[in-house]
Amino acid sequence: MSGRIGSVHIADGILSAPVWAALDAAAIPAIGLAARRTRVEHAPLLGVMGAFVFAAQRMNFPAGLGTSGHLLGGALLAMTLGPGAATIVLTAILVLQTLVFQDGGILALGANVFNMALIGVWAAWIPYRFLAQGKWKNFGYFAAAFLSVLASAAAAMIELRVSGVALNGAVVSISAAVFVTTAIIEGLITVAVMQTIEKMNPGWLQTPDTRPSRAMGLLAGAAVLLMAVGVLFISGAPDGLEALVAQLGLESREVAYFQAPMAEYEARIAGGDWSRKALAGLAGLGMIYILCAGVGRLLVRQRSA
Amino acid sequence: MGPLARRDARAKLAAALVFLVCVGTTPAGNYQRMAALAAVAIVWIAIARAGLFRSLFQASAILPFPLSFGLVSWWVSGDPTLAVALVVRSYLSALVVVLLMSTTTLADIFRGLQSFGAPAVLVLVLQSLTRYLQVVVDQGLRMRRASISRSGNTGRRYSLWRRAGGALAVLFGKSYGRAENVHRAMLARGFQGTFIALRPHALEWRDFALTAVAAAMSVGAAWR
Repeated sequence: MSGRIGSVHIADGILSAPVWAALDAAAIPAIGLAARRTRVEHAPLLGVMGAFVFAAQRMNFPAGLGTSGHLLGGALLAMTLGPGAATIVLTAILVLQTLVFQDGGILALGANVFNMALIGVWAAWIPYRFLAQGKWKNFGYFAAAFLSVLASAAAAMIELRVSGVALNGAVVSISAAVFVTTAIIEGLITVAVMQTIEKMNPGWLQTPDTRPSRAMGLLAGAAVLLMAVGVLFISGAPDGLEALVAQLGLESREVAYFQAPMAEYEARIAGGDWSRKALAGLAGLGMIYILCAGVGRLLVRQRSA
Repeated sequence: MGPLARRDARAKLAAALVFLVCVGTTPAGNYQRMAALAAVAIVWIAIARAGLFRSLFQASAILPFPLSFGLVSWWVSGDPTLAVALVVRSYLSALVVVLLMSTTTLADIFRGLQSFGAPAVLVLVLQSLTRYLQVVVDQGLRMRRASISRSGNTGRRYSLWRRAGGALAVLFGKSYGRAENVHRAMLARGFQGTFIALRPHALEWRDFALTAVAAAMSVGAAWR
């Protein structure tokens, strides 16, 4: 028996229109911001490091019980290139995986970028930033990789749940066990790789400018962990606020003082049910695109002034 | 080369996006619309002369993910409607991406992305990544073969992990060194932050017509 434990690339057609549209809209300005902070001259370096992550994913580590794991690489990239550059490299990898390897969807690209290139990278950077110095170093490497995978998986699970994919306690528990195992493997591989990189050339690692407190690091790591684990388990339960409203019998007392033009993610000006939803999705994307373009131009003008 | 391969990447990307939005907003249980959208995809594969069975087979690579979540959803809710919708929507979306990729080169797609507003640094990273992907992957596989032939996959698990971790770190170092060499060589040859396109693209009326017809077909199939 052999198996492989990997990451979650959400395909098209799985997420509901409001979820993929919202995540596309959230990912676009975030990538724009990361790109703005990345120097164009570094692009060849980042491209080759992206190729390294692809190659690293072909090298298996024995995980026991006939299974093997491989490096996912988000945390390693964050610790060696910095969070902004790592976000750009992981986004490029996700684009290529979507187009060439059919791993993930085009409309779901925003969700995958949000989960892996944004949440995954920053969940790794926070513990690394606070713990990667002194005797806590190896724990910092492990925590960075562990939390990166767990936070990404938790985000994917909640997106699936919000999109209407039915998940009960048993499914969430099994998924959580798989994700925690994957996260532990990622943590152990990352520690092994980072220890060797450190011996070969410590200059390849990003060193945070200041030496922040260890307590803050542990607190930040615990916060990310709590969020990831909490989200995993909440994703199996109904919406908390809606459940509370139902429990208290307040549904009948709901009064709408203002009718939103796209309430329930539907554009009411359109005729049919499908056209309402499709129009609302496209209108939302268009509005966010215009907003991002406007804010971007304003920033450029302010900088050049 | 089919007629679609000669069209501009931007026109094909826009047409694919409209199709994907139509598929992505198809409600579970609306099999008539799913069948109509499948027919549209098959018509375009035939027009592109992309090979129907090859495309259908390549798109099936996406199936494990929607199948697993579809089965879970069916098991939990007892209703197969959503499960079918997840699988069909994912498969149709993948089919169109296969068609897009079989009629467009990656370089053209990247240039199309840039003209749609993707950041220049992201497009440059994508271009460098695809250029060096095979080189670095081959190097990694050679190192893996060398490691196995020297010591095999034997020993205690801890030492296997240390060995594999060391190999990855060496590959990281070699990739880093290669990247710096590439960067220096590019600067020496006058690289100014953009790759020069050998065939600069200009949108023709045929490209606009392609997008309009493809979008009309997709929306027409989905409009009920």
